[in-house]
Amino acid sequence: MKKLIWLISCLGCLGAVANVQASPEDDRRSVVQGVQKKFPDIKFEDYVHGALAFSPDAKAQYDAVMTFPPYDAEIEKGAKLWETSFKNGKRYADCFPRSGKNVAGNYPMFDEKTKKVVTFEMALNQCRTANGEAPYKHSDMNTMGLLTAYARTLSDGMRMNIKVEGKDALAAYESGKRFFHQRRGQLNFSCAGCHISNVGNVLRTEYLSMAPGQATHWPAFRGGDYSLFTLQRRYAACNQMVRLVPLEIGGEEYNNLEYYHSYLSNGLPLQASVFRK
Amino acid sequence: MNVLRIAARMAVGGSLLLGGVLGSGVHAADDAANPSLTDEASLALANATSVVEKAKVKGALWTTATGALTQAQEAAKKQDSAAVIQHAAVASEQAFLGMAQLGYPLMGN
Ligand code: HEC
Repeated sequence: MKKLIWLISCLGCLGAVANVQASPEDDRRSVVQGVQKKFPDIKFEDYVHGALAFSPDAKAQYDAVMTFPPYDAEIEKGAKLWETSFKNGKRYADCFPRSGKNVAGNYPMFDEKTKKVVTFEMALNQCRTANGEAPYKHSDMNTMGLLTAYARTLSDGMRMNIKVEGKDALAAYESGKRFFHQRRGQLNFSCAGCHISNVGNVLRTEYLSMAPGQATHWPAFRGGDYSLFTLQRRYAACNQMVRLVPLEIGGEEYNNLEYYHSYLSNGLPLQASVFRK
Repeated sequence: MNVLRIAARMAVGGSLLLGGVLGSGVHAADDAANPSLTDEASLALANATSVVEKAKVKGALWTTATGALTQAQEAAKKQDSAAVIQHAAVASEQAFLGMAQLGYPLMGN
């Protein structure tokens, strides 16, 4: 009898775990299918190009810039930061599996100990503090931004592989999902209102990109002066666009948002430090 | 939207009224900071500042609310009570609307 109860309760756990995992995957699939239905000619892999997928001209300009990226010197600065040893002789590469190759696609990940989402930027800072260095500010593009501009290139080609396991992770995911679908700002728009419901439509002069693929290619160098934008800096810019005062870059709300948002890119290949208008 | 606007006006008006009832003693600190602002203007500014802060904490602060609060603060520096009241009302209204927006149904699936 005891065995039977044990067996039944364990089947119950398995069921619960399966349910938890099904839900984000259902979300992702339905968002991807929405894009596929509206744009059957755009290949899934090409979602990483975002708005460029709707405009051959813009894509041609992108390809031209990417042949010899004018911001290569910036990525070099990032490489220098990455390779410089800490005072204790350790390096960033010592903090990550495979010396930091093919890791970025696992971030953000959920840390069961702190019950918090850990972004790649946070992992880099944890590496710094564990080795006696002061953390960088997440909003500082000249340190954290440049460092990620190089560190993420080490994961080029890796498929986004975000995991949501357990009820605390799911709660963080759900909080990010709520943010994505919550109307904000004086213009009363949610992220989803632009990047799910209005994909492919033109806002002023820009095609609106699809949510899946949006998290795969950061940081981006934007505009005529190639300003460096981390993903969360882009969140801040989109918030500002609808007249919302941006939230803290590296704060818990944006981290949870990044967790959900990155999950939507699962299965798509990473390519760091691309050009964007 | 109109309902919210009225509610925001009422909230602002209500606290003005309260301020009147409570008298100037409560707001002596504000008055000291801005000796030539009227009680009403000091109170409106204090109210707007606190509503804007609340909206910010909730991640619901509209740029229009901060913009209006900045204008109210500038007006306070110039000791222009009428302008303070006018901008502070806009700031608290816009901050209030931002917070109310968080109660809207979720959008876009
Ligand atoms: C009013 C419409 C609008 C809203 C709301 C909006 N965005 Fe955007 N977003 C844009 C436009 C326009 C662009 C630039 C063109 C593009 O790539 O879609 C953009 C670009 C982006 C990009 C860069 C895509 C790329 O491939 O370079 C990301 C990421 C993004 N938005 C995320 C978000 C998130 C997250 C939210 C919610 C916090 C949000 N956006 C809200 C309009 C919007």
